[in-house]
Amino acid sequence: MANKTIVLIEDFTDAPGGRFREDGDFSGEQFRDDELLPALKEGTVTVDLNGALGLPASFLDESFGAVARKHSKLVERLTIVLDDNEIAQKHLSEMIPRATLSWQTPPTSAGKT
Amino acid sequence: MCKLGGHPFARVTLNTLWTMSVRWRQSHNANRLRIQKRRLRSLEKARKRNPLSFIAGAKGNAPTELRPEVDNACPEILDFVKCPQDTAKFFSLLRKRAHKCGAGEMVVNLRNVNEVTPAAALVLIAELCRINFFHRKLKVKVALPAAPEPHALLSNVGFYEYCDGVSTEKSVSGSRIFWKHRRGVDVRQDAVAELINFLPKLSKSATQRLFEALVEGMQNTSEHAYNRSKRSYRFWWLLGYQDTKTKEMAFCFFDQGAGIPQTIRTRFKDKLFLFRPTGSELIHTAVMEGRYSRTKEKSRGRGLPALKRFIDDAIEGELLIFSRESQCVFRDHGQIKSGDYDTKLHGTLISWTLRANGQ
Repeated sequence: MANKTIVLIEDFTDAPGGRFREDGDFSGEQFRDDELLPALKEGTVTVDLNGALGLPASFLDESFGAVARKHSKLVERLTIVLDDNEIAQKHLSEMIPRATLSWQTPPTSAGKT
Repeated sequence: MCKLGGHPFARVTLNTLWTMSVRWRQSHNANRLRIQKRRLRSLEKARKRNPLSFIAGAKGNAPTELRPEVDNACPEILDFVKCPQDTAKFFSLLRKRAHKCGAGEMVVNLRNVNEVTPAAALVLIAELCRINFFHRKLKVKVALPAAPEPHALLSNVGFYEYCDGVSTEKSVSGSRIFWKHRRGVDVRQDAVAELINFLPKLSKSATQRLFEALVEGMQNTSEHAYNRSKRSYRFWWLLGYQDTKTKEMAFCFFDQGAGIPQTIRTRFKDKLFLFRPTGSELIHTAVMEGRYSRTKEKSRGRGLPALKRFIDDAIEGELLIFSRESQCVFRDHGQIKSGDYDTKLHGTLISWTLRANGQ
C-alpha cells in the first residue's frame, strides 16, 4: 500500500476556510474531496497540520469528521501530525478517535515523535 | 316577514332565516362603521404627530426637512454596552423609516451624538449599506456629528464613503488606529489574515484563536444567518482597531441575519412555552457548553464556543454578543452579564475587546 504525506500549509493552504465549497475557497469539503479521500483510497496517509494560521472546527469536521462518518474503514489508514494547536487536537480526538494522532502516540525509543 | 304560504314549519324556518340575515347585515354594517372610525382616529393622531408628511403626500413625495422620528430617536450615546436598548431602537427606527420613505429622501441626524463605539459605527455602516441595496431610489442625507470624536471615529472606519458630499479623508482620532471596515460574503479568511497582520504581534495561540473565531463567525453567517434560497443579500461586516496608548484592541463582526436565538432554538424543550429559555439564556448555554446547532447533528455546534476562546487566554478581555433582542457579555474572569430587551437589533453583533496583549 502506498504511503502519502500531505502537508497542509504546502499542499493546500496555510489559512483554511469554512465548511463547504459554496462557503468559500480552501474549505473542508474541498480538502476532503480533492486531497484526503483520493490519497486514503490509495493507501496510508500522514497529514501534517502544523503551521496553519488556525484550524476552524467547521473545517476539521467537514474534512476529517466527515471521513470518519462516511468512510469509517479508511480512517484507520490516517495519521495526523499536529503539535501547535491544542484546541484542534481536542477536536480531532473527538472527531476521529480511530485515527493515529501524533499527540496521543508515545514517542519511540529512538526519540522520534 | 315572509308571506309565503305552505307548511307552518317551513314558514317558521323561513322567518327565522330572514331575521338572522337582517341581524347579520346590521352587525356587519356596525363593524364596518367601527373600523372606519378607528382608521380616522389613527390618521388624526398621525397627522398631529407629523403634519408635514400629510402635506407632502404619500410615498415618493417625502419632504426634505428632518423627519422627527429619526431626529428624535438618535441618542447621544451609541453604545451597545452602556445603552443597548436605545442604540438598538435607533437602528430599528432607521430601517422602518427607510421602508416608509420609499423613493423619497431621508435624513439621518447624528448631530446629537456625543459618543459612538466602533461596534455601533459598524452597525450604522451596515444599515446604510442595506438601505442603499434595497431602497435604491431613496436619497439618504446624513447630518454629521457636531462633536469631534464621533466625527473622527466615523471617518476612520469608512462610514462617510456611504454619504454623498462628505470628505473621506481620515481624521486624527487620538491614539486609536482603525482598520477600515470590510464587507464580504461567505468565508473570507484573507480578510481575517489581513486584520491579524494589522494588529500588534499576538502570541501564536492568540492568533489561532482569533483566526478560528472570525472564520467560524463568517461560516455561521454564510450557513445559518441568511435564507440560503435568497442568495443576493448575505453580507457580513468586519472592523478592527488598536489603541497605541492603552494597548487595547477590538474587533467587531456583524451580520443582518436571523439571529442566533432564532437559528439554534431547534430542540423540542426549548420551544415549549413553559420551559422556553430566553434568547440570552440560549446564547449563554450555546457559547459555554456548545453542541447547539440549527442542524441538530451531534458533530456540530462547535462554532459558538470558539468565539469565547479568544478572550479566555487574555489578561483582560470581553466578548459581547448582541443578537435580535438578546445580549450576552462574557468576561475573561468568568463574569457574565445578559439581558433581553423589547427592541430588537436586526442581526448579530459580535465584539471582542482585549485590554492587554493576549499571551
